[in-house]
Amino acid sequence: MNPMTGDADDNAPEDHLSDDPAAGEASSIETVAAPRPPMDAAALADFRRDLLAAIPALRGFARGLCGNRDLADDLAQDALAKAWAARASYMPGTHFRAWLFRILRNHYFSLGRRAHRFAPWDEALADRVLVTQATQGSGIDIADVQRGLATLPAEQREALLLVSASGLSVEEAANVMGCAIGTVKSRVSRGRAALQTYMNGATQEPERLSPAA
Amino acid sequence: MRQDDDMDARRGGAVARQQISEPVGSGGDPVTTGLQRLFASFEDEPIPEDFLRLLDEIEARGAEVVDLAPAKPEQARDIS
Repeated sequence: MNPMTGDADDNAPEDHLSDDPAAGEASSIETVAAPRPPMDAAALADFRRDLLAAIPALRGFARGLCGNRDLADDLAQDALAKAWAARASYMPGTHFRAWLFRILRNHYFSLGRRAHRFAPWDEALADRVLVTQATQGSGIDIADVQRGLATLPAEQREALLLVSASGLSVEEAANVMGCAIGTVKSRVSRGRAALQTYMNGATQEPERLSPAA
Repeated sequence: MRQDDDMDARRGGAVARQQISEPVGSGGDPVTTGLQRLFASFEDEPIPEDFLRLLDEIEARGAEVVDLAPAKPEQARDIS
């Protein structure tokens, strides 16, 4: 059962949470404080620099995933703490952002499995943030994209954010999501089709009321 | 060095986006363009100060963990 959608899904994200202890819910600072090879000062500095550089992407992924700014920042901060605690498990040279995304999404879906309660989509806030960027040159209203994204099942939203929005390869996304490559492709395809349909409907609705009105 | 890193982080996702490769099988269609712009708008929001404070805090906590971990076996031997 998918906690985000209420639908049965054999490839639901939460089925794969325990694949990587470093990325799973057990990776709190305390639980990962077990013996590990200590990083030297240079490695620690490199890791901190990489974490800093990844914060915008991490926040972006979280924001797209949960649709709420405050919750997204909480998720991103939790993911940063977990990543720091699990830093010894990161393999230098591998995709750092993908590693962080995996930690964050595992945490997100774990929260969903526990609480079944999420902050509502903050559409009014989203519109205020995005209103100045809407329809600039391309005819694409990214506020519509954001609203459309919120209507998708979580696993499709996640796949689109990883592959289409943040530029991970399908293989990297499959590793983040803990599912087969074909599953990622399927979710991307279905998500894109649904989002395209939503966007087409949105553009054909000339007098759409603002949610703040 | 750390100040430079922090400044880069505050600038948002410009550096990170330079590393983004072209998405597989999606050549600039409205959905992909919209998603990329949405993601970029999220990335470009200023990073709250508490993120940077958090990083300092967890770094300090992490350093304590690394320092304390080797001491545990010695403590066990002392007790025995």
